[in-house]
Amino acid sequence: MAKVPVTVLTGYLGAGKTTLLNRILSEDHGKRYAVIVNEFGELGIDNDLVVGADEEVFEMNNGCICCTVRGDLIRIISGLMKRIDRFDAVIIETTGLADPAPVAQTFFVDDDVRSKTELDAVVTVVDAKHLPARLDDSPEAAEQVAFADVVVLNKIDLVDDSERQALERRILAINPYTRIVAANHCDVDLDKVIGLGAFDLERIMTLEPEFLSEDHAHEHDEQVKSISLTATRPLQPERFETWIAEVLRNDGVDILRCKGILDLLGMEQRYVFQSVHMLANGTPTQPWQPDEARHSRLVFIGRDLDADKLRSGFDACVIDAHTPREPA
Amino acid sequence: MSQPDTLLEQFGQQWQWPAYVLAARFDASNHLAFALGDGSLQLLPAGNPSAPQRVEVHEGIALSLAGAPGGGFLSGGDDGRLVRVAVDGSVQELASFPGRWVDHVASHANGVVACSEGKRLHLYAEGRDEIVREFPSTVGGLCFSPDGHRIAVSHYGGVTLCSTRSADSTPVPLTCPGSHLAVTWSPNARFVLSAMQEDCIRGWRLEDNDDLYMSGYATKVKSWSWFNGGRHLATSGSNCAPCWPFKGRKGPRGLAPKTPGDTTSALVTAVAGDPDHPILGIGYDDGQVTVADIDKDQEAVIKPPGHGAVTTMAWSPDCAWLAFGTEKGFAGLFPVAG
Repeated sequence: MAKVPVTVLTGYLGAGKTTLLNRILSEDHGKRYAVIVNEFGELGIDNDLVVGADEEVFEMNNGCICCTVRGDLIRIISGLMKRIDRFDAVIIETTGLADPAPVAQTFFVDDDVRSKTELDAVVTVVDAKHLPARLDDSPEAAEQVAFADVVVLNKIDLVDDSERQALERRILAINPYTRIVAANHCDVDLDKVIGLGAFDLERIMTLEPEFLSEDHAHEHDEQVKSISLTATRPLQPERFETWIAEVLRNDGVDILRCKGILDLLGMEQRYVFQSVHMLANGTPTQPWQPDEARHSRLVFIGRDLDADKLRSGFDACVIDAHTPREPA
Repeated sequence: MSQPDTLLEQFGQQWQWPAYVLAARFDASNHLAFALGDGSLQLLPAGNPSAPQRVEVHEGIALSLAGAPGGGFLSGGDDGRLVRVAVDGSVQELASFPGRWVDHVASHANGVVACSEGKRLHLYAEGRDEIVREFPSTVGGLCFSPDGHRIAVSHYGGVTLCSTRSADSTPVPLTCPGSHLAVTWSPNARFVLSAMQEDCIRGWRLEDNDDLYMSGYATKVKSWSWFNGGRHLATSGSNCAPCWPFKGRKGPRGLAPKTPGDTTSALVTAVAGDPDHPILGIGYDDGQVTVADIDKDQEAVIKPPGHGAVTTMAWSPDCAWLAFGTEKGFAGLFPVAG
């Protein structure tokens, strides 16, 4: 049975989350959605399957200090999956101040949730006029951008071109692999926000950060930022595994997300890797083509990252120039 | 050559319904109810060959099903209703919490009825005011003490034991970090156990708060059953059905569980044991159902794999019947006496 895709909507109060939610629900797509909202009965959500959640964040005692999950989502999703009137997708609307990490981690950690559903994408709605102030005064705003697979830059008419460009640069400095979609009243094409498979390792085919934070002079000294590492020679698989495990164990609290497409020595396929804090998974996907330049790219998004340390650790995983590509 | 009939086909009854079988329960008088994922209950007296009676109960689904004091059933639904369903199929609403989910229901033979919606526990008894208690997080499970004077409530951070007779008495906290889901009270009243989000069981011996920890499960323990005169607790969540010994004063401390139903190809998803004898029903995620004698190390296949994962199992109070259901709407009732 196909897993039910789940879209997570985050964003500050007033940014336009509910507008986007109602747009998704009212579009004539013939799909049936179950919607999980944080405050049941808040302004009209036009759907017959709306469930109120309590945002109960639980720590997991699995030896991973930052591993938190949403107990309410485990309970609600397990209940929803037993109904006869099945639905095509689930949308979770979080509160403005919610940390997206426990939501994402729930889909990594809980067996029941993982066996029936899969995280499709984190979509963050931001208010173009007020985003700079939010990024300055609240860590949650930066975290929501850091977690976003898509940022809907809403109320775009309220800013001029130069403001807009500065905003896009600032968003990409935090999260270089997010896709930015500009909108008014959240008038976005729905295929840009749902059905993306952003967490699907098989579908993470390219990772071309549009903007490498290291090469850019920041107007703002962001607390949450990204570091992009690249290598043109293959990585030694055991060395990479040992290093990334150590990095996530030691610094996983501050590393919000990590994604990579890697060229591992002796592997004919791309190895796709992703993590949310300390929880990681990786899998070989499509083969490299003979005419294709193989390379590895790994992006970390986090708080107070030590770029030099990460870079030297990553570089130490790269095979030296004398090692043949194929192991003897 | 045609397939030989299964034991279930030869001796039992079976049904195929269109919706997920959420729960199978017997009441004290051996009436059986199945709760389905379309909001209905299917009712029948065990041993009666007539077709079950379908009763529409909830708008969504039943989240929890229990026998009612004096016969019939209690059902809590995601439509916010707590209802009592009599064995003749009549439905009476006991309470309604619009917009909430009634996650858990429980009852005791002394007449007390309990339910939880979100963080709140509600206790109802004839001739007394309703008692409401609120916990720090959503209630994970409920279980009455054998004498019915107390109820164990599991939640994030532990289990709380509350009086069922007074709203003023001070609850007893049993603390342990983490998210506690189902809770059960041993028939000898000495132990309270909780199944945790972290694929393990925590327990407390009430006389001295000595704690127990049972681990090694492949997934969460979602089904468990006291059987064999309360001497064993059978559990799901592994590729066998670990049965922890609770005969001595120390419970299972330092003792290995019996492991009937061991297989390499499937996971045990539901268990129910004979209240008085060392016989256990075991259901797997591939749909197979077996009955094992844990003293003689003997097992018989009642139903071969197929029809979806076994989701629920119940053994009748008169020890004569085993009922089960699967996620694809298949259900069976099998005579196990003798």
